[in-house]
Amino acid sequence: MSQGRKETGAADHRGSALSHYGVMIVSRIAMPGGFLAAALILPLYMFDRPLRIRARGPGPDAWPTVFLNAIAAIALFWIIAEIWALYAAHKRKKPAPVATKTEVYSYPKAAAAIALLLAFGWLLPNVGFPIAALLFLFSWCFLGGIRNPVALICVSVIGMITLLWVFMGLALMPLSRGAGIFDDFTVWFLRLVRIY
Amino acid sequence: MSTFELLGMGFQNAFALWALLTIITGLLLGVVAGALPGVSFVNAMAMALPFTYSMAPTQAMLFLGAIYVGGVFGGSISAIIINVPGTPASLPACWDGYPMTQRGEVRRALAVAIVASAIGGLTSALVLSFAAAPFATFALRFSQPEFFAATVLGLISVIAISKDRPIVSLVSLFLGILIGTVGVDPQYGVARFTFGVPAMQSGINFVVVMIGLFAVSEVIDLIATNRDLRPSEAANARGKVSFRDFWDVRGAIARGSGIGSILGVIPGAGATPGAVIAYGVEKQVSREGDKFGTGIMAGLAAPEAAKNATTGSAMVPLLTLGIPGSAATAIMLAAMMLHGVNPGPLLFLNDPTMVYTIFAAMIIANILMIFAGIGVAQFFSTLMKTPPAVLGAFIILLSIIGAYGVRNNIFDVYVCLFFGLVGWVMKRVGFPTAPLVLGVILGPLAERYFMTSLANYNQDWTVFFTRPISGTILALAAVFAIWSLWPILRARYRSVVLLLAGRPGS
Amino acid sequence: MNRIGRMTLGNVLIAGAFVMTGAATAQTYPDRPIELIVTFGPGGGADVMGRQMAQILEGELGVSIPVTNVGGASGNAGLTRLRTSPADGYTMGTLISLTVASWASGIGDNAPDDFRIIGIVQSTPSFLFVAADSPFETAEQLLDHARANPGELTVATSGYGTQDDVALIIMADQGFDMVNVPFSAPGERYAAPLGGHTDVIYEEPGDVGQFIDSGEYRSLMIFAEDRHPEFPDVPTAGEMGLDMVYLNTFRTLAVPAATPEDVVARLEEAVIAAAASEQWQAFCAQTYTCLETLTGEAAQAEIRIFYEAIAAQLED
Repeated sequence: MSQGRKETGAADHRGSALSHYGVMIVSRIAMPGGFLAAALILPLYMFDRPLRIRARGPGPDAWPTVFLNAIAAIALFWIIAEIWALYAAHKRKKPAPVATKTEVYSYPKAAAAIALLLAFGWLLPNVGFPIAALLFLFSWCFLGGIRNPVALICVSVIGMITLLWVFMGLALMPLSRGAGIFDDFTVWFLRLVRIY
Repeated sequence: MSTFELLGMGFQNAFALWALLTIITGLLLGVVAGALPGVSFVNAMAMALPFTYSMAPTQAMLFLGAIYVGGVFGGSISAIIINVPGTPASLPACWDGYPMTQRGEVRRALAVAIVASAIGGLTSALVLSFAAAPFATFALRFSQPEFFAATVLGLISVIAISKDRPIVSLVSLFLGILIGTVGVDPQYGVARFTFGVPAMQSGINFVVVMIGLFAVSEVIDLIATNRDLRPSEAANARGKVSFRDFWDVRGAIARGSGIGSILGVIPGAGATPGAVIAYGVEKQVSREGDKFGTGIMAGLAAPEAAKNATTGSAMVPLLTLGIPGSAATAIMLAAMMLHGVNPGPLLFLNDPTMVYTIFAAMIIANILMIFAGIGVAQFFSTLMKTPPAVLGAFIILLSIIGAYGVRNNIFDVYVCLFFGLVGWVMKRVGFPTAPLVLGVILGPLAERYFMTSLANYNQDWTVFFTRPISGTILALAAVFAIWSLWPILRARYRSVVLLLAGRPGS
Repeated sequence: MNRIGRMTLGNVLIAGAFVMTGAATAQTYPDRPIELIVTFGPGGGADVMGRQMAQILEGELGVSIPVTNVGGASGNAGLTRLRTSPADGYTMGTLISLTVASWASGIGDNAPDDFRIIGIVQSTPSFLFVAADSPFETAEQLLDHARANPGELTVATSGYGTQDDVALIIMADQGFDMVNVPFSAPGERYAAPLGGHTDVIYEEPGDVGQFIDSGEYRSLMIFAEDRHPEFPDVPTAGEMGLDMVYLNTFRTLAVPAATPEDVVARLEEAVIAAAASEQWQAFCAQTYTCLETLTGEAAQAEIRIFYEAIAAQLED
């Protein structure tokens, strides 16, 4: 690649480069900026109530304060380094490197997976482990592309009962039974599968 | 009676049919529990505790000891096969083990991990058998400043594994340390960073954070990328294992075993710092150090040897002093106390048969672990043939059960899900997760040691440097930090000089 | 047959659930496993006590009693779970002095009246111990040294704001100023005097029985009204001229406050029987915690007195 072609290339998108730098500055400084802000705000929320202790050397605030300050200092340095790097790249008339992703990544699927996880977390204490696990296994496998209803039902029912047997039956773990009527149902179900 | 005679007697007992069956059952349970993402071997030991009620005290110890030995290894199976550490100590196994799997060398990676773990564990069991007494005295000499220094060494090793982004890694580490301060502070009993939520006073448990960051986020990625976990036939051919592979990493295994055996006796340290420090040291010592993280066998062997080498030496303070240094040994102490046995120096006088049977059993368990490890690893490789969606769903449920099982607390399930999302975001934006987990693990230890040191030594912070052992360890840590950072420092210095001179970089 | 055949699956489930709740009355109590929440992780004193009790109570009550460790927030995580469980006697928990002390420091959202104490099953005074190679042979020597050199001697304790701390503060007020060195990890605390890291340790004898038996610990003084029958040669703090508030370390079994009387009565009966059993007697002898099990209002009052004593000390 000759020197001349490089120059023209840079001049061609000078206009778009300016806004490009704007986006770059915001996106690359957002993370250290967020850390800096958090490190400055968090000390205010360290304790729920005013401290009522006899001071003996460093108090309970000493250790977290050290690391909050350290994060603030590093974040500040990071911001400066980012600006410096962008400035240097600008001077060299070469856009700063942009990370390129080549892998296929389905964000809608990831979002659906996260929604499922949150739903499971909410259901677990309310309807109890057996029902929540059954629904979760079913919907996760469905999301993962399994469409055969027999397979879906078999995997979820057998999977749920196996997990119950191993963890509630053998390992005696008190997994959530749910609240109210669901608690009664779970106890009934556990008796049905001979765990209680 | 000499140690050899006593140990001989121990072997006679440990080779009895009931003893061997107990050891094998414990090993299999441990390896499986360790390998299941989410369920850690500490969970498994706590779950097994009620089953030891009906056993004789020696048998109970054999059972728990075997779960411990197997479980510490088992975590590496899932780390190597699916990049999810089954236990915190297997974190480094992801760094070089999983890349080997991606290259299709999964068998070789597992073989190296099993052999390294077994040799590490065996070394440690021999240390336990022959040097328990001197090691115990050595451990007693360690006071809080020394513990603090050792923890700092562990924290520093994060820099060694941070590749070329020390700043981002440091932020991640410090965030982890801050997350570790959530809950009731150990010194004053004051709640910190609980934001008015009583459940937050329970604090953030590192096992739960790890399960979220690694297992949950990995499964989200699994479903979003539709990755196939089945090893291809061509890959199997590349994964042929030869004796040469083990011989090549003999130095790494030896160093790992040594580091693990020494760190194991320090209360609180245990398998995870042992493995991480061994990885950091190996990265510096190995000729291929700069390629670590791309699937280098030495980078897998050293931490594997180290983490299992902590198992025997962690039992040194338990048996000789009656002092448990970790959750696993605390459960063993409970098992002994429930049987009316008080470990400590008197145990060696009153019941040497029991002590030496335990020693012999630890040696046998580490040898048998090779077979248990191969068997379970084989089984897990077969499991990979199930559709990724089914596998992912079960990993999530096991993770949730595991997170819940740490303290049987629904709050931990939410923490696990939260860190699953955090881990997913961190992976997407390329923010390192390993330093954060190490911060959550080591941060609370470091704070406790630091504060108790100050209280013990007149609030004089110079004590860390003036006490010979802690001063030496801290100096080592400093050397270690500079040594690891040297290539980056030099490169950055050069680029800054070039920049200031106004010449564009080459 | 036909009518049952026509019932929907949902009806069957709900009917099953009602049969179940109907059966769970006190006449048949207990007819399913009783969960025992140990409010600390496995391996500690509360855990060992809880598991030992659960094992004996299984025989007394005829149902299995799985132990659940719910650690965190000085025992408050487990207690919150106990408090919010149905008050039907199928959930019990351990409530120990350390947790009551934490309430005084503002930890947790629990209070003494949230729980019905079934029985104080362990209660033990604390001692000052030194290592066998310590220069202090007697309590006089230790106290004389402390008076002459305020702030020089170090004492390993479980933390600030605990009964250990309260005892040291009262001693300091009376001219015996020793430095409180908090070791929240029990193992490290026990090792501190042995390794020569602290001069003294404030501890209950049960948790350090192995060191007392092996002669590695020397008992200097007991914080109690009377001498301990197992340690007849160890003087009390009162004998040494100290005016103390005696705060025993105790461990209790508790249920939510709203638990029906007949269920509590059944549990009390079982706990008293369990405490009299041979297995428990062997266990409490080993841990120096044998005492008459305190139940009912007397037990409830003990907890309240302890809470107020700690709170009063933290006020100033």
